[in-house]
Formats: sequence, C-alpha cells, structure tokens
Amino acid sequence: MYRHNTLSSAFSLALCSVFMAAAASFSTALHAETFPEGSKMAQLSKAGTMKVGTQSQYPLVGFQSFDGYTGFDIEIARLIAGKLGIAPDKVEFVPVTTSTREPFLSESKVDMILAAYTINPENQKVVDFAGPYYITPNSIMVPKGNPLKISKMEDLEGHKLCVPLGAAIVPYIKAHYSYLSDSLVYFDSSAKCAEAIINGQVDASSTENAILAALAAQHDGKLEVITSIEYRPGEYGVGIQKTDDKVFCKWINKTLDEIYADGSWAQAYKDTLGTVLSGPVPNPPAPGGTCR
Amino acid sequence: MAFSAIILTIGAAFLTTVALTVLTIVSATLLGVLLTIASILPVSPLQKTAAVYIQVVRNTPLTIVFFLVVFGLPQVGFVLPFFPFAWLALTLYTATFVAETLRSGVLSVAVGEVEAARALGLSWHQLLASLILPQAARSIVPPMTSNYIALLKNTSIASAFGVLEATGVMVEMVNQNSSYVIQIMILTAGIYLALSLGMGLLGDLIERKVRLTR
Repeated sequence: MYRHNTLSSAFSLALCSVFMAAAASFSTALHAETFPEGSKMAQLSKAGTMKVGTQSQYPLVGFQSFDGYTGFDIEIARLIAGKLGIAPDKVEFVPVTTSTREPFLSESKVDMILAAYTINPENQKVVDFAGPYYITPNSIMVPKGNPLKISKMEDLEGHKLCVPLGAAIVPYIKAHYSYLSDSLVYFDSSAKCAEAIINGQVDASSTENAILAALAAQHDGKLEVITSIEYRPGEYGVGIQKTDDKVFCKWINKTLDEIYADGSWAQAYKDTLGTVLSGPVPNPPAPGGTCR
Repeated sequence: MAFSAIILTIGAAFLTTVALTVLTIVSATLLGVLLTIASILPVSPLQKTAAVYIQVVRNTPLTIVFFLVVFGLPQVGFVLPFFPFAWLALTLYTATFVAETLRSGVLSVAVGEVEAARALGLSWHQLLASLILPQAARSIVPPMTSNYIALLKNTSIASAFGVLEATGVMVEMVNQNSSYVIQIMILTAGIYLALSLGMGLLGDLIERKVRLTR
C-alpha cells in the first residue's frame, strides 16, 4: 500500500511538472515579441538565458537556500525574463554585494541587477536604472518589547545602531542624524545585525523596512520593527549597464508597466513581502529611472 | 567626495588595521609559544590538548572562528565589544600557525644537543629557556614573517563583524563614490601591499641579525 502511494504520487508529480513545463513554454511562446536587431533584448531572447545579480541573504527579498533563490526581487526578475521568452529556470542568479554591483554591470558579468538596489545620484553616475519597481522606507528594528522605548531617531542617541556595511543609508544618517555618527556599528549584512540585536551586542538596526520585516519574521518573536519610524524612502531599481541609447532600460520600464497592469506584480508582492508586511498591496511606483 | 579626502579616510582606517595586527602579533605569539611548550613537554594530556586545539582551529575557516567568537560566546554569557572580540578571534586562529611554525623550529634543534643537556642535568625549564626556544626562534623568522603578513590581511575579516577597519572603510567609500570603485580598491590594496612589504623587510633584517652560522 505504502509503495503504491509513493509510486502514484511520484507519477502525479511527474505528470504535473510535464503539464507545468508545457504551460510555461506555451505561455512564453505566446508572449515572445520580436525585438530590434542587435538590441540587448534580441540578444538575451536568442540566448534563452540570462544572468541576474541579486541579494542572497535577505529573506523574502533575495534569498538563497537549498531550494534555490526566492524573494520579491527574484519574482520580478523572472517576470521580466519571461517577457524575453526566458523560462524561470533559465534565469541564472548571481549573488552580488554592495561593492560588486557596479563592477559586475560594467564588466557584463550580469545582464541586470535586482538586489534591493537603491536608485541614488551616486550610483546613477555609473549605471542605468530602470524602474523603480518598489519603494520602501528605512526603519528601525529593536529587540522584542522595545526595552529602550525607541520611538524616534533621537531616542537612539548614545546607543549602538547596527547598519549594513556600504548601505546607502549610512551617508544619509551621517548627514541628517549626525548625532548618531558615533553610534553606528557595521556588519556586512542585515542578517548579522539581527543576530547582534538578539545577543544584546547592539541596541537596534536599520535598513529598508521590507528587509527588517523579513528578518523579524525569520527570528520568530525575538525582534520587532518600529514602523512609526520611517526615513529616506528607498527606490529599488533594476540596475543595468550604462548605455547611450537606453533601449534596454526603456524596454524594462515598459515591461514593468505590463506586469503592474496584469496583476503579476501584485501577486509577486503577496507571495513574498506581503506575507510579513501588514496592510494592503501598495500601489506600484511609476517607472522612470534614468532612461527618460 | 574628493579623491584626496578618500585617501585620508582610508589611510586613517589603516590605523585600526595596524592596531589589530600589532596587538594580535603580541597575543598570538604568546599563546603560540604556550601551545608549543604544551606540545613538546613530556606530559601526555597537555600534548593531546595542544594538538587537538591546533588541528581544530587551524583547519577552521577564519570567518567561522569569527562567527563562533562574535555570536557564539554571547550565547554563553560572554560579551565583549567588537574590537576585543576581533582581537580574540584573530589571536585564537593565528596562534595555531605560530605554534606549528615554532614546532618546526623546535624539531630542527639537534636531538644530540637535547640529550647532552639532559645528561648534564638541565631541568626541562632550563632546557626550554636556554637551548630549545632560542634556537627554534632563530630558524623560523622567515615562516613566522609569513604568518604575520597573513594576519595583516586576515584582519580584513573583522570588517564583517563590527570593526570598521581599512577594508570596511574601503567598502563604505566604494559605495559612496561609485565613480572611483576600482581606484579605491587599488589604493587600499596598495597600502596593504606596502605594509606587507615593510613587514617582509623587517623580517629579513631580523633574520640577518639572529641567523645561526652552523
């Protein structure tokens, strides 16, 4: 009986995946557009595969586990790739860090980057951004119960605030909350900051609230995000190599508009960030980036 | 940020790197000597403890040593600020290399000399202090210099664990000055290189001073 069960479930699983594969190839075939000769889209579409730089340590945003990559950035990358006729399993994800993003793009090691990559003037000097495809404010995370009763940035003065090394918020904090300059403690990822809070080695941590919410969910019951503190909304953009014609950039923006309209963006949000962030699905931001 | 300001900021951060390196050279050498003594004294439990410690720690990636020290020790109630934690992690790790290098020096001391010293009635303490360790120390200056140069570069791992040293500041600078990414990295690597070369030269100098003519 046992043997029969496993056999039949294995069979139905196989059948299921055959159907899914067929459905996937059918839908991509249906959507495949024709692209201008020599464009980045034509090149990727022809190759049938693409490399996407992403974060690997941020649950629900860009996260690598034994099951592969998961998260909102991953979903959006697959949706964009799908419009090029590239199947989800043909998208190769490459982990990038805050210091490898720009070199990876300029050296064509990746075709695009969706890695909680905040659009800012400094980055725009060296890369093009399509999007934004998501806007998240930065917030503060503390131990559960908020022992220091932090409710505004001023309350953090004299306490240890953990930030990810190289994060865009660092120069912002130094400029706008200069009294916190001596409070900053640097780790190379927000995940380590979460550990340090739990151990009592730092008092709080800050980064985009999507990431904080995901980390809080991961460390069930030990951390809490102070949603009343919000500063410097970060616009997540699709980083691509800097070009003069902006053709690829404009095409990604058009694609983002399409996935906003057909509900797949909202679905990606619900499946990932929506599982920890309270409130309704936000309205997607209007794409503009650097390719106007 | 002007490039000259970047150079100053990174230069200043190397003070932390150098402090961490110098402090660890002192502490790791002390711990390494103790480990070596433990592994050559004819006391079996001491020998075994030293051997297990050296093999386990030496063969664990430094990042994991850091992780266990920085996030593991607080779990058992031992909390220090991040700089002492980094110093501790680097010391625990580097001492094993010091000990192995020193042991190779000890092995290079002729057995006959040790036997002669024992026959003359020297105690183990006298044997170690006046015969074995001085000779061992002289023959291991070049490999020991390599250990210390490796340590200088290993301090960069502290940047991922709450200590803002040269590599950490480099990452900060890279992110705040996207147009100078490669220049900033080359500058940082250049300073590491200059420091390593300096240590190498110092090692050569010491080696020439203490070299034994056999």
